[in-house]
Amino acid sequence: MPHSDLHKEKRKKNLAVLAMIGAFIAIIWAVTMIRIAGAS
Amino acid sequence: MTSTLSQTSDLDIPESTVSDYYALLKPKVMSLVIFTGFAGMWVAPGFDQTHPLLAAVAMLSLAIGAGAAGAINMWFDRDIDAIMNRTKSRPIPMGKINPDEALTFGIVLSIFSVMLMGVAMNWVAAGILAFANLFYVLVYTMWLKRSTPQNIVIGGAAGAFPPMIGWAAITGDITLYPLIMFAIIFMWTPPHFWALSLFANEDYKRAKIPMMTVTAGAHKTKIQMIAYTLILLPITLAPWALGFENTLYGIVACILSGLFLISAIRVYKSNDEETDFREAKIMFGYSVFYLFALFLAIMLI
Repeated sequence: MPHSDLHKEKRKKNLAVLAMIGAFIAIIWAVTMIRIAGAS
Repeated sequence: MTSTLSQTSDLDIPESTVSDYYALLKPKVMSLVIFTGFAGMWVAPGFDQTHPLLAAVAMLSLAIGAGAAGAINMWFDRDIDAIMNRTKSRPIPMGKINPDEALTFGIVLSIFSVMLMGVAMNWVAAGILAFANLFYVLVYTMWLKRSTPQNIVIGGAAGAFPPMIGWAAITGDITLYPLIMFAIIFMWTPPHFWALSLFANEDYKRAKIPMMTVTAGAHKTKIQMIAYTLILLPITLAPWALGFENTLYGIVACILSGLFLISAIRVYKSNDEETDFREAKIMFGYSVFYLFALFLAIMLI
């Protein structure tokens, strides 16, 4: 897929959204693991 | 494909950056919310047995929830924000963020914060967080702010919920102590905001927001400020009087609240515009320090 100027302009923002989704998954995973382990 | 992309590039797409979205979350307000929320969590029985990561996630949920409400507030108030000097450099009036994107951002984060709080801690805390967000957006922002001089008195309740949320996150219920912390912030909010509106009065007039300073004038507002700081004093002493905190806390609270009252009296006594502005700014600055210091005393003493 060719990279247009729009892709370049939005690169930082898209990476930030990716990081947020990654962080969300990591948090849910960590919370689930702690809950399963029985911590309050 | 190339022609489609070049057409898209020609569209008027705001040049938003990550920091613009961060500004949409009202980080200064968020810091106060996090701090008072953490204080509520800290004093709650059972905090020391709570997994640190769960406590951190609870704080994150609270911060995101507060930020989300701020983003929706900025979406709704974009017309008046553009008029007021204090707010005209916010991302939406500056044209950096599309209003629809700001609203979507706020709603998504709001739902996310409530879900996260519920999953990580409990649904009582999540419910209060959801209620606080809805109260801030629907009751304060959309209804009271533009319709009554009591806007920040009633609407101030939204900002008073964080210690309750922090407490409920640990215990799963609400007792007298978190209600006292709620009352402290509730009574602190009017003099804090009216100090701001005294030196930003022209802004509020231009935006036609019926702040007390606009509808009743500076003199009556100053009297109200003294009344609220007077009522606040015994409320801040309640944790000591009821045995939740020790005498040292009582002394610290008495000094801090006494100084807050003195600053309100100084504002009342100032009678020309220059000293009015100066004293109001001093009181506003002190009010922020006051709340941080008081909740620090609740936590540490």
